[in-house]
Amino acid sequence: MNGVHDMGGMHGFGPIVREEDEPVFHSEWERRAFAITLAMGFSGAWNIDMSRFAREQMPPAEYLATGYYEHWLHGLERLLVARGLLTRDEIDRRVAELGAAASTSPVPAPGPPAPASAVQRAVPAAGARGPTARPAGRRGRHR
Amino acid sequence: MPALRAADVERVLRSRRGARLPDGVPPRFEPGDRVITRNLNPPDHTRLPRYARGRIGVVDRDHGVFIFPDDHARGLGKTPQHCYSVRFSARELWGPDASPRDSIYIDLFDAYLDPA
Repeated sequence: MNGVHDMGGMHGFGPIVREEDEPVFHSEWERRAFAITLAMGFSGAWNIDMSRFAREQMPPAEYLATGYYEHWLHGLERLLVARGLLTRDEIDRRVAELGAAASTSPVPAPGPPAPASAVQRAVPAAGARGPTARPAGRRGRHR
Repeated sequence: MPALRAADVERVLRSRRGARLPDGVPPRFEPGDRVITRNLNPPDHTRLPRYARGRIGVVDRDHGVFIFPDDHARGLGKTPQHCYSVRFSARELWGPDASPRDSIYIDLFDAYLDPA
């Protein structure tokens, strides 16, 4: 899959910052995500290469904005749903319950999606006049 | 579906088999062979990086026989085959501005390679 995970050769991510005395897990949920993933691997419902592919299928913008064990969790949820072991609705309901229990204030709802009309207005305008086309004054190097 | 019990965790983790398989498959290449990677763009899992497709390298060593992850991820079985460390010059991968002294070694499966 030509996905965002295949990052070799990409520019613009800045230097690799090494963390001094990096812990195995940065928080308790990472430890649990790791353990649950290994435990479910034991079920035989999928293999390790299927787990890797499941992580690669995370939407690219989300993939870049999240950490390693968030990728693991995404892949695990995707496989659990794909194999019919959990439904998306069951996962969402449990997350909402835990979120409600963890804070007195409700989990903020996601904001509205960007209006499609803005994109639709922009695209025809850009396509109408190719800004890079130039008159064919000189012969090219190849034909 | 088997459930993993707490008492079995240590034994199970210690007995997990790696991806290495018995050496029952002949290698298609040997160290020193020039190879060209295939230009594969599968919509599912592959271990062939985009930047190393259609590039010429030299087999540095043969790691032995392993599960082929691409087929394994597709549920097509293990497709046992050799995996090699293949050396590419930095210039082969990144063009004339790359260092002439640098090389990159990538672990690549038989199914990714053709003789060059």
